[in-house]
Amino acid sequence: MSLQPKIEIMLDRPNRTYLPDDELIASFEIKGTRPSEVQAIEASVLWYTEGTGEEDLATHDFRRLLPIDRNDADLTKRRKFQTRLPRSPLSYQGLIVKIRWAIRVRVFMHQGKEYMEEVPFTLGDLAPAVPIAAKRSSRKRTDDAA
Amino acid sequence: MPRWFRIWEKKRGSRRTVSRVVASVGETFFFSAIFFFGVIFTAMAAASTMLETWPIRTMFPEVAYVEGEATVQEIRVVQVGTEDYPHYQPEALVLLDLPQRQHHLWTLRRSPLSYSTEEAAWNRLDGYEPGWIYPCWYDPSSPGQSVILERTPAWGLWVIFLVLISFIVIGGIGLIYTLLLMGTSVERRSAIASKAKTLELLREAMPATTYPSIPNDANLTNSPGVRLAFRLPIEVSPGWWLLATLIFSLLWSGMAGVFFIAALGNHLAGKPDWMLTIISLPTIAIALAAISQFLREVTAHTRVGPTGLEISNHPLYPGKEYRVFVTQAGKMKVRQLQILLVCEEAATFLQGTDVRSETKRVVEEEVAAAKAFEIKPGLPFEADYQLKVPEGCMHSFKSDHNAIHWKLVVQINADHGTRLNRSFPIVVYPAELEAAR
Repeated sequence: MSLQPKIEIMLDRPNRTYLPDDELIASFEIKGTRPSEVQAIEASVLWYTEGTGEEDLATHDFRRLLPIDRNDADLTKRRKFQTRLPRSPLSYQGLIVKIRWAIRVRVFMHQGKEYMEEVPFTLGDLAPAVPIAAKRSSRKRTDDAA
Repeated sequence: MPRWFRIWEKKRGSRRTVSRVVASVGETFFFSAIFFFGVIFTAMAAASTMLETWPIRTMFPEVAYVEGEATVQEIRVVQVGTEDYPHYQPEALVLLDLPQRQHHLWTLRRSPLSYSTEEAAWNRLDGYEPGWIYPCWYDPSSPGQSVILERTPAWGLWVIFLVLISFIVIGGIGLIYTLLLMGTSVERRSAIASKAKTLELLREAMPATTYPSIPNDANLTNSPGVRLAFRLPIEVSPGWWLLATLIFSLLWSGMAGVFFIAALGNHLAGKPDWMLTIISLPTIAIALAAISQFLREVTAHTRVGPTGLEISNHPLYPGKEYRVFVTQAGKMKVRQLQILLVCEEAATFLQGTDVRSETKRVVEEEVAAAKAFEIKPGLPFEADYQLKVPEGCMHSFKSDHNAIHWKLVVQINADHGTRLNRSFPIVVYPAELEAAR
C-alpha cells in the first residue's frame, strides 16, 4: 500500500517578504513516502491571479526533477534552490484583481497520483487597494479632524 | 445555510467540474475517433479511386474512363424541356471504332448540357466539324453507352478528399495536443510557453523585458510633444465613436422605417396588424433616440475641438512628480475642465459561452481643475500642471485575463449640456528599487 506524501517547503525569510531583484532561497522535502514511489517532482516559483477574472499563471522559475537525472535517485531528500526574483508583477491585493506569488511543489507518484503543496510569499510591499468611496470618506474624516 | 439552486444562471469561469483524468481520456477518445475516421475513409476513397471500384466509381464514373479517338459524323441541337419552357441541348454523333466492333452514339458530355436559346447551343458546338477525328473517353466495360467528347472536372472527388484529410489534420493535432497536456501540470505548461518565448529567433524579435507583465510603452512615447517630452495618444478616437453612432442610428432607423411603413400600410388598407404596430412603436422610439444621440455627438464634437495632453516623462513611477500640459480647442464656454489620474482594475471571465469583462476604479486623483472660461476658435485653452503619482500604488499590469490600467482623463463640462471624457493611457512602473529598499 502506498503512503500519502507530505510536502514540506521552507523559505529563507520567516516573514516571507521579498523585494524585486532579491535572492529567494527555498528548500523542500517529501516525507511519508518511499523514494521508489516518487516518479518526478516539479518545483516552481510562480505568480497567479485571483479575483473576478479567469486565473492567469506564469512561472518565474521551474525545475522538474527525475530520479534518473540524479546520482542518488532519492527525490524525497531535502533539496534547496535559489532564484533571483523579478521586478514585476508585485504582489497585489486589489478589489477584483489579486496577484499572488508562491513556491509550489508537485509530486508525481508512480501510480499516477499527484500531490501539491504551496507556500505563498510577498513580492514588494504594496498596501491593499481600498474602494474609492472608502478612501474619500477617510480623507473627509481626516480633514474634519484637522 | 443551504444555497439556492440556480436554474437560469450560466456557469461562470472555465473551471472544470469533472475529473481531469476523465476529461483527458474523453478528449483523447474524441480526437482519436476523428483521426481514425479520417484515416480509414481516406484510405478507402484512395483505394476505390485507384482500383476503380465502388463507391468512387459509382459516384464519379469518369475516373474509370480510358482515352481514345472518335470521328464526329454529325452535329445537332435537340429541343428538350416543356413546350412553355424549352431548352436546347447540343450533341454530336460520334463513331468509336474499336477492334471488336464500331459504336455510334449521340453524345457530348456525361452530364448533358442545355441552353435557354438555340443559338447558344449551336455556339457550344463550335469547333466540332463533321468528318474530323477528336479525342474521346469511354468506359471499357460499356463503350457504346459511355463515349464522351468532353470530360467533366471531378471537383466533387477533390472536395471529398479535402474533407477527409481535414478530419485527419484536426483529429491528429487534437490528439497530439491532448497527449502532450495529459499529465502535465499547469506550471510545466507555463514554463514551456515561457521557454518558447526565449528561443533564439523570438528573442531577436522581442527583446527580454526588465519588467515582466507590464505593458510596453513604445506606442506612448513615439510622438514628441511641443512643450513637453511626449504627446500622449488618446484611448478611443472620438471619430470612431462618432462613426459607430452613425452606423447604429442608420441601421436601426432603416429597420424602424420598414416596420413603420408596413404597419402604416396595413392601417391604410383597413387591415391593421396590431402586433406589428406594437413592435414598431419601441423600435421607432429607439431609432429617434439614436438619431438624437448622433446629432448631440456631432454638435458636441464640432463645438469641442481636439484635446491634447503632453507629459514631461514616461514611464511614470509612484511617488514621483511630472508635468502635464493640456490643450483644448473648440468654441464653447467651459464650466469646468478637470484632469484626473485614474487606475482601473480590469478582469475578463467566461459566463457560460459569453466573454464578460468588469472594471473597478481603485485610484481617482484630481490633477487639476480649471473653472469658468471661454474657448474661442483659434485660441485654444492651454495650461501646465503638476502631477504626482501616489506613493505605494500598484504598477500597470497585463496578463491574458486580468489587467491594471493607468490613464489620465480629461473631463469637460461646458454649456448646452456638453459633457465629454477623453482618456490618455499611461504606464506606471513599480517604485524604483533604491526608493523601495
